[in-house]
Amino acid sequence: MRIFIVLMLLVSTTAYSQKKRKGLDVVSNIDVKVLAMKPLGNNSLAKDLQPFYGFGFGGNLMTPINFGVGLDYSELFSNVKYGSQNLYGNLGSPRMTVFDFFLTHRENISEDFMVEEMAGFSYYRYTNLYLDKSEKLKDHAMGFNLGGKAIYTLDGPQQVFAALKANFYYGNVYNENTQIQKYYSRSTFLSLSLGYRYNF
Amino acid sequence: MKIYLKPSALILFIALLLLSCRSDSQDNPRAYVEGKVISATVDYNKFLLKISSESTMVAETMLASDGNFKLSGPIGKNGFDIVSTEKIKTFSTDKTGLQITSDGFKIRVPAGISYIKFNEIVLEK
Repeated sequence: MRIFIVLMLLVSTTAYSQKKRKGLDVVSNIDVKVLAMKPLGNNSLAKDLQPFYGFGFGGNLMTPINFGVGLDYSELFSNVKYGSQNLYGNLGSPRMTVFDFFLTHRENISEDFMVEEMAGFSYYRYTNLYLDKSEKLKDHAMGFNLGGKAIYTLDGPQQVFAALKANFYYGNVYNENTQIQKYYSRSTFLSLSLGYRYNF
Repeated sequence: MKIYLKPSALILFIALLLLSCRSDSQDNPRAYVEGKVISATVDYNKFLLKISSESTMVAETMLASDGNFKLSGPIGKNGFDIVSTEKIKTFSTDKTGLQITSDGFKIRVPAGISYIKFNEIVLEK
């Protein structure tokens, strides 16, 4: 719960700082996107689940020196792989909610085309439905993210982009065997997204 | 200069936030059980082994043709049960405190144990 309060604080702080720096011409943009995300490595999310698919929303504040801050919110859905139910448990409908806070840097390649690099922190909310009762299993995880975005300007404020992002996931599943604990807690995600961005 | 100050302050802020969240987040315990079931007559295609925690079936599996199994699921704080569809005669593992319930269909695992490797679970049949 605490994270949402701080999230609201964060949003209001950035919004406030934008007002204060009006003379500096900070520009902002919002985007909507579709995502495909594949967990990698020897861990439960990679081995026991199918790739995640989902959608997301995001926003950036960009200063004139081409450095900025951004926030991405994504909802991703998956299924348990056939044959992995014994290791995953009697759970279904895995759903990953990802909040990425990042710093971003923009490079203008040409008038219509630009590239942005991103690096920041991530917060994950991971829920599953119990097959045996109508309750959710909730899990939280922390991590960080690195990514790149290629942006093409359609006309004026409208842009389309493709982004490639790596997310590092550190969960808190407990097992007394550290190998098992690692298998269920750690992962690395690689995600590809295609989206539409509006600048104002 | 002012522009550089803002992101660094923001990073510090987020770092503190992450640290604070780590401390009040609760661990999600998960049980992992593996081993071998031995039986003379039981049909392994019909036999199921399950993990039950807080009266919820959190995992279930069939046996491999040689009787081996791996089973994992999320559990509560108060230990869990390994539930069999046939009566269990004996079992052997290096963990202590496990008990077969009076009806013979369950092995009760006390709180604090989350990983068990059974050398064998012998069924009555």
